Amino acid sequence: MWAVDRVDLDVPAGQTLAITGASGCGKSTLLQLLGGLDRPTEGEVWLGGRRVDDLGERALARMRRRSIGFVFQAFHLMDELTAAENVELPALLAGAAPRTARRRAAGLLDRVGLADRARHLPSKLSGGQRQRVAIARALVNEPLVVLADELTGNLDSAATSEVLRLFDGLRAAGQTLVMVTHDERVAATADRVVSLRDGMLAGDTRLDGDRRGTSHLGALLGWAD
Amino acid sequence: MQDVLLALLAKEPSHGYDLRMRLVAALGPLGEALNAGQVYVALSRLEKAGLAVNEREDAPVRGPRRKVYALTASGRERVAAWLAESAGPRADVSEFHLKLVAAAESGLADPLALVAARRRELMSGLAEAQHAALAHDTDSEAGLLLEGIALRLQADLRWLAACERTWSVRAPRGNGGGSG
Repeated sequence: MWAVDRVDLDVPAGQTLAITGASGCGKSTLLQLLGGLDRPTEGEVWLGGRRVDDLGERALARMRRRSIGFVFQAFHLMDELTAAENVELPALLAGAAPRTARRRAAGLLDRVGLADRARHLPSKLSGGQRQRVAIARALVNEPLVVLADELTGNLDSAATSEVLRLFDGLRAAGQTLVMVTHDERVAATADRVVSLRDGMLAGDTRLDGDRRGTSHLGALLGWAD
Repeated sequence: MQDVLLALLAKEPSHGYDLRMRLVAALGPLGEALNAGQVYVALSRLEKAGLAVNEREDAPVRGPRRKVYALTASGRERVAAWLAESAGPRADVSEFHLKLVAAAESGLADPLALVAARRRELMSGLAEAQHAALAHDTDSEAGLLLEGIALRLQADLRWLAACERTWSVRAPRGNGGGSG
């Protein structure tokens, strides 16, 4: 019995993919495999034209730092570092000069609307603000793909909207995003939604064309029947 | 209700009492509200419309004789069309539920295929609602309405996931809708 079996997915650059399914369906395992946090028993993982599941530990760690941005449900910010320092850290670890790291962090915090919170510790920030810091951190090395695991799982409805607006902006800017979520409202903001059941693909819905329309909304209100 | 009765007849000819029992079994407490007269009226309308015929009469050991109804060719066509047509975003839970039951019983459609089509429809509506909601202030009047619509669609999608789980256990996929 495998956690994920016969899942063949190709995410083109610039696409936003949502992976949904009941708890235990294998969606988090799939994200771990994509992110190089876990290795497949069988099968391959490719990122940007390069096979990554057979890399050595050091090369894999490097690939994770430079090419992938992670966003987690519980934020995983360092409590003793300021918002700006949290964002700078992965840039420094990837070998950026301190000045460069500072400049990039400042730019990203501005982009997520938190320029005025740069010197705050995470404990002084709301949940939505912490997640926006975590998103800025995920972007600091200009990753090929951002992987998000239940990014709104700890947020109330207003903060969820803030974070989704931010992701919408990333998508518009061409950032490739893969998010695991059990929230259909979050999944509905993606270009494509796949669902897993017992570790296998159970559904695949493309929504690229639907977002801008209003035909379904009209039908819901009874005006387009 | 006429469509549901037709779909139940697609499996085999049957009489009003039996059809009512099958509806009650599928609807649970909601079915208790259904009175026998409604079923008989619907059956005689179907007969007038040429969708069902009174095939024969059964004489049970006890009780009155029972008219056994069977589908006509046009009745069968109408069932297939009803199962294939989109339920529409406003369709209520019990209507779609009956469609799944009827699809499985009649063998004329795969309940899982109906679930997949409905998911596609609801996800498209939710994508529109979410896109519009993100463009509006959460506290605005429009934002509030969009949130309500999104929450309702989300509830429908969650119930659909439950339907998928249940029907995937009951009706093995890939038999081309043959036996149900």
